[in-house]
Amino acid sequence: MSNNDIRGELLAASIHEIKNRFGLMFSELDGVLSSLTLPKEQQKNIQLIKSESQFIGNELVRILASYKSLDHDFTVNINQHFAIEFLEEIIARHSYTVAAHNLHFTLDCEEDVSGFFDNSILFIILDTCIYNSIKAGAKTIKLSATEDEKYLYFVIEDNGPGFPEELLEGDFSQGTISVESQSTGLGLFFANKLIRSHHEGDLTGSIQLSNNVGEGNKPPGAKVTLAIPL
Amino acid sequence: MALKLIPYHKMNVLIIEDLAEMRSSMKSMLSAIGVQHTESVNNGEDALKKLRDNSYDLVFSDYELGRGKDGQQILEEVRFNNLVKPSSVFIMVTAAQTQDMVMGALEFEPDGYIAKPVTLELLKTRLVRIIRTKDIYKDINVALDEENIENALNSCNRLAMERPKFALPAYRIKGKILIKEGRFEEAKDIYDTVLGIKRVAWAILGMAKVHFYCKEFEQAQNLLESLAKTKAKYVEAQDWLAKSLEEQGKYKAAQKVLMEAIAQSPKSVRRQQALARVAEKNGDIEIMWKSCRKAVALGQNSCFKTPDVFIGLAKSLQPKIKNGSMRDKKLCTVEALNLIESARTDFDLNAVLSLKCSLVEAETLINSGKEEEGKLAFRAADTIIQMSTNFSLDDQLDIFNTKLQFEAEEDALAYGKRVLNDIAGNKRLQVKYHQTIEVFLIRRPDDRLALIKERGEELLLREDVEDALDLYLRASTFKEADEDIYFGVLKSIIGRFKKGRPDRHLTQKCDELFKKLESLPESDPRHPTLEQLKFQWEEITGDE
Repeated sequence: MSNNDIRGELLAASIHEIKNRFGLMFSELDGVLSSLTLPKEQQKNIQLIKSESQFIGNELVRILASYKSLDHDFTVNINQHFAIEFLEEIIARHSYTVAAHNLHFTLDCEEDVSGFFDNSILFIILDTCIYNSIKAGAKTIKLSATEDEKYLYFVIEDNGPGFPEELLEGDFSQGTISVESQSTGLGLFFANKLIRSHHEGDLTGSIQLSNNVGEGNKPPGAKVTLAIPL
Repeated sequence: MALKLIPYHKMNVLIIEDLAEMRSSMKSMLSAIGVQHTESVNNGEDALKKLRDNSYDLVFSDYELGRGKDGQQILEEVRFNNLVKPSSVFIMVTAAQTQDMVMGALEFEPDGYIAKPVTLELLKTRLVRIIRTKDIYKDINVALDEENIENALNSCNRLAMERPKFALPAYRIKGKILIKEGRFEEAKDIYDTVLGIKRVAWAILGMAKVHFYCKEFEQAQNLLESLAKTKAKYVEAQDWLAKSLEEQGKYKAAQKVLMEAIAQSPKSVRRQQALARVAEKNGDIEIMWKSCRKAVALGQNSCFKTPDVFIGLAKSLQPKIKNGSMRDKKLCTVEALNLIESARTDFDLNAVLSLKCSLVEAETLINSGKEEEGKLAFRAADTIIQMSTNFSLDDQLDIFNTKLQFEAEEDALAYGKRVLNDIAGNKRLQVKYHQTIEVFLIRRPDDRLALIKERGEELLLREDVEDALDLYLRASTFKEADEDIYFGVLKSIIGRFKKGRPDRHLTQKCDELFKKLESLPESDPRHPTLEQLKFQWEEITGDE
């Protein structure tokens, strides 16, 4: 094992420990908070604390998964999942985010849409997109899923300012990061790595970024399209 | 089906949750959506009692239940004994930090998961979704409720035909039914079909199980090892891998797999039982003691309770009874005798287990100084030995061990020689045999040392450096260890390095021993050997 490998392992093990400890602390805190009756003002603060702790927890999970994805023998656990069930769970998991940021989710998905993916990986990717939207100041997020012959598509659209030009033009799959959109770019870099681990035949998963221009009844905002081969 | 159409008011609901606040909060949320009959319990044992006596339409179980059984253990017993109708809904409630682990269930799966913290909104959406999904498989489940297997299989086929999207889940159920019915060829076909479409983990496990039941253990092992490579935490797959290894006599590998699985999920009775079993085969008393103790504790009120771990625990207490402090001696003796008593009263023992019971009883008594009573117990064991002949080689070694303590040495050793003859070619059992004699000679250090030297030379001659090293290292801690033992350690370490298995700790040990042997006079006949070893060692360490 080279020094770099050891350094990586050490970091991963430590993050894993932090994640677990943090989870325990979070559930303790949750117990304490729910036993208190507080004025409205502080209720709001609590929502924010909960939302932030959830964010940190998710972030640690994401770092771990991203780290693992750099391993050369990284493989995903493919199973059939129904999109509606998956998206409903995403929204349900973000109840704190919704409360803390006055966020509104909408869902558009047929019952029968399904695909083959590693849902723990896709949770991470969708979380990345949702947090990017929140950071950009979006208030509504629309999640939808469709499929064609070759791919299952997840589409995440928000009503924020949209992606900056350089992110749309730049090739984020290479991990180039501008100062301004640093964390957004890095998050998408790993999300891209993770989704590319989904293969079928010659097809590979991908992420596409674009901005809705806001024509007709469609509001402007950022749009992320995830394609997962069937 | 819209929300208002789900007949919540008619449902019988059971909540399994250890925290009182969580229980009442679940109850009030459920009543808010229209549930009128809820019952709740705060631990797995009570839950199983309730589930045996009543019929519920909807069960919520927290995964983490503090001491005692966890949610997965409850689910396993529920599925194993059909305590919840196939058409009823079982939901696992999980905290974020346990989610990965819980959601890796392949064999004993709940109908759905709800992530904590549970809010009313979350409960509503998840519940509607889970119940609606369950509704898709209604025909299959109703047929299973009625135990009409053919109907259930036909319903699986119909679902796969009519709604191709649900073909895989339908095949998954079908495969499980076929395995349960012992129709392995048909199950094989199903999993072949599925694996032709996608290499999903549950189908790999299913296929491995079919191989296992058809006694194709190596094929099962290969599939399960490929599953382990995905690094997903499928503990059930590890259980089956361990079983396949055990069937092939690869006990060391099986123990390793089980210990990893237990580190991940320690509360499975059957996993602890399996570890106890292979640890006994490997002569690893420490691990055997730990796993037996856990298996006995977890097995209380469990349908998976077996007498083996009671007897095993009593057996693994012997070193403490023999060599422990006065306090340990007393406590462990009482514990061992109680365990033997429980094994006899709680279970219907067959000849082999009755024998094991009597052997352990005899040993417990003699080790605690009650020689006369021990003799009585041994006589009971001896009667069983005379009556029956089909004992396994492991059992015969146990018999030998007890004979050494109760019979005339010559007679016991003669029996041992016969066993040794039968285990020629089985390294594992030979190691066990020699350990038995070593322990027996503990009060005769000179004889013990002589025996070890003889055995060590034999091992070195066969180039069995690992076992030789184990033996010599153990002997080097004895008070009476002499230069011959040090030579043995050096020879085995050098042999090991030559085979390309270096180890830093062993390097230190080598240097240490060379230093100890510096005082060996040049006139000693072993001196040239020492020079030779030094030379070889310098060659090895010089390479780095």
